[in-house]
Amino acid sequence: MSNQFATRATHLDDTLSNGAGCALVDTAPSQEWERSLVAALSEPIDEMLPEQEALLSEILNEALAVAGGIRGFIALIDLMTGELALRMNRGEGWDEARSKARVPISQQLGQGITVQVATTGKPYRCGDVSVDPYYIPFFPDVQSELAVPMVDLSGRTIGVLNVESTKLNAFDENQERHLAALATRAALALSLAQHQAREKALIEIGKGLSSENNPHRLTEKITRITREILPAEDCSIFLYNPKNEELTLAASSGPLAKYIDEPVAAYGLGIGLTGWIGQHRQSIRIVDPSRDPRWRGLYMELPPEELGVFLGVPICGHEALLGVLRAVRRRRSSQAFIPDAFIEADEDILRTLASQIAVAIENAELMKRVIGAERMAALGEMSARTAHMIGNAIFGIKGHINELEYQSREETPGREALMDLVNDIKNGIFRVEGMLQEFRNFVRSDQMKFTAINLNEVIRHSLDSTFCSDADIGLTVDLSEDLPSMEGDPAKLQSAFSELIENSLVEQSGGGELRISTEWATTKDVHEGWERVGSAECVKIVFADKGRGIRDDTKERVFEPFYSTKSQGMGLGLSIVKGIIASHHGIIKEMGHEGSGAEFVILLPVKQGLSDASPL
Amino acid sequence: MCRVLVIDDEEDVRVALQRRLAREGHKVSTEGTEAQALETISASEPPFDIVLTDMLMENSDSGLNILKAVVSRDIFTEVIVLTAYGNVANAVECMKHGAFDYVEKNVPGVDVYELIVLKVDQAMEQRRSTTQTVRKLEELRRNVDKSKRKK
Repeated sequence: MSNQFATRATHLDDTLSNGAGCALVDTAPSQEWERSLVAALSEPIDEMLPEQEALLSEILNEALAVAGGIRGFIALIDLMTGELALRMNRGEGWDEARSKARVPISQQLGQGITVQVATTGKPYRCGDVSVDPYYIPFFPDVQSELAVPMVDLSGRTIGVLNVESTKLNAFDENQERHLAALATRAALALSLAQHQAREKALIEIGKGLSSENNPHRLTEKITRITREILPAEDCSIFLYNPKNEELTLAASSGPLAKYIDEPVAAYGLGIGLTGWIGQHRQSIRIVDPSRDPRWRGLYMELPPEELGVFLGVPICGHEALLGVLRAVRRRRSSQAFIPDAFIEADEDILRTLASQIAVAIENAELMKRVIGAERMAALGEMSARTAHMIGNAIFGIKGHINELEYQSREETPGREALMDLVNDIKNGIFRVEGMLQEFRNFVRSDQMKFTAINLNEVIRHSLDSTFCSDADIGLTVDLSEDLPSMEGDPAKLQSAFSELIENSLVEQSGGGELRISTEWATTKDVHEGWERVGSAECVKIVFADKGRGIRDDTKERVFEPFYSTKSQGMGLGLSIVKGIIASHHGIIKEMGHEGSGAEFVILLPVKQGLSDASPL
Repeated sequence: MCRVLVIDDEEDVRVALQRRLAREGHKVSTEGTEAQALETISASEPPFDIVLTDMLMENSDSGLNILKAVVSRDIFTEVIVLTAYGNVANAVECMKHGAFDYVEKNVPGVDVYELIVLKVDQAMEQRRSTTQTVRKLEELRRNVDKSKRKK
């Protein structure tokens, strides 16, 4: 038993390391569960569980007892190689080579009676091998032979049961019937055992995958495992990107792996078999995929004439399509009799795997968000503390400079140069303090203290503190008196509005216009293009000027931290504004046109759910 | 001249403030922790005229604790709270509890030390006038009492 597992594990390692174009970016050793899993799922042709072996052995004994004859054997079809492989034998004369014989399956005459039965799926009885067109000598003493197919639950021939005799016409119709019944029993038992093994393995996969929260490694593992257990020539996962509505190859354990890097394989929704699965969220299980009208063959794991069968299932998340899991098998020969079509059980496996992937991907996404949020919170806390410590240290330094200035108050030679230096240092420190200020505002821009506010009043306060009347700016203030009492953080909102006014003044330092307005937002405002606004009841605030405006390609970027076109400051201003508005569950957009001025439009929900807010 | 206690956990700050206020002729003591400061305040004899304390040291309401200790030692001692930029909410809380004023440490373009000197003078002025008022009131009370007794 342990020996068998060792053999399989080695086999798996071989497949993984040099393996047939495996796309293994990560060559980390496969985990134990993966190994045992693949072992448990291998087709009966490779290695058998002890129970299966015992069963076959019993059936072969019984076959010889029923039919007589001096020798018997069971051969099973190997889907991956398209060969008949001898699995079990009884009787005299078996040497090493004979007991491990493998014969390629084709329909040519003279390929042997066993191959003939495997291809036709019909029993074959031969009274005199010396005149038989199919017979090829295997043992010199054989005179007559009886071979029956082993047909499984899905009606596929998975092997052949064979008995031989040194007498002519040793087998009759009755024995053929008995043997056929035995063979069918063996096939059913084998597929049942395999089915159970698959079920067990799927549970194991579930356990193994739920501990994997790296989507990249996850998809790779799945393709690797699926390829082994089906088996298939190629198993790939395409992940769906709703932004461009494309299914992009994320992992492959076969020839398709060459499309993981440039050029990346991608199917648009509805394009090709993969795209069809994604669009309809239904699976496809077909023979001869290249003849299907949906087939596009944009990225081929095999030349079209070698594509045998295709199986693909959608990976569906809680709500949305996440991707497509698919497998193909190589056509083993031109004959249709080789049972290489995917069966319903294969589709079930793929469906189960797909749902496991979906859960794992969604979990990984969730985990990423949670970790991200925690990191941001920790970073925010750390930043605030760091800023505080820097501020304190600077305050100390300012004291020393103050003293330096005092000490050098006497008229002494070189005093002027000294004072220049003192002033330079002072200016430098003021700049650092300015950055600190901006930085702290940024860190705090999402910590709100909501209270009842009069929005127009907040705007007037901002104007009072920021707008200087001697600036050459035509100011239009159009505040609707119809506004409701709102909920918000007045200090934060005031600083946000002040920042917008300040920006406008700096931008139009040579003169210009500033228009500030408030009004109820219309339903149209709320529903069209303002998808993220937190509530239907909103007030619309506009700050519009006649400056240079903002280029179309930077409309989003101006709100990013550290984006600045000015030489002063850290470029946090508008990102702070956005943070404050977002913390009020509102949104801000720049909707002006380059050349005719900037127009910042804010939608601010009237209510913030004041239950957890503390009025000042 | 007045007796000033400077409380800040940053040594540079203590040194700079002590030097600057001493230059104005004040008698300055310093403490670096909240616990030490509380001890010094309760043991002070006579009480300090002015206490200049950082808002945030070991914990975020160190300033508030010190304020309470100062007021319970001598209700006329004036407290000026030093605060980092943006911590105004805490400073306002201190004002509500009777602090004289607050000074933001990192206001760009402002020489905060000169500002502090000014605030200390103002606080001292307030302390004098309050104590004077109280003394006058006490005197008045005594006179009233005296005249009552004469009658």
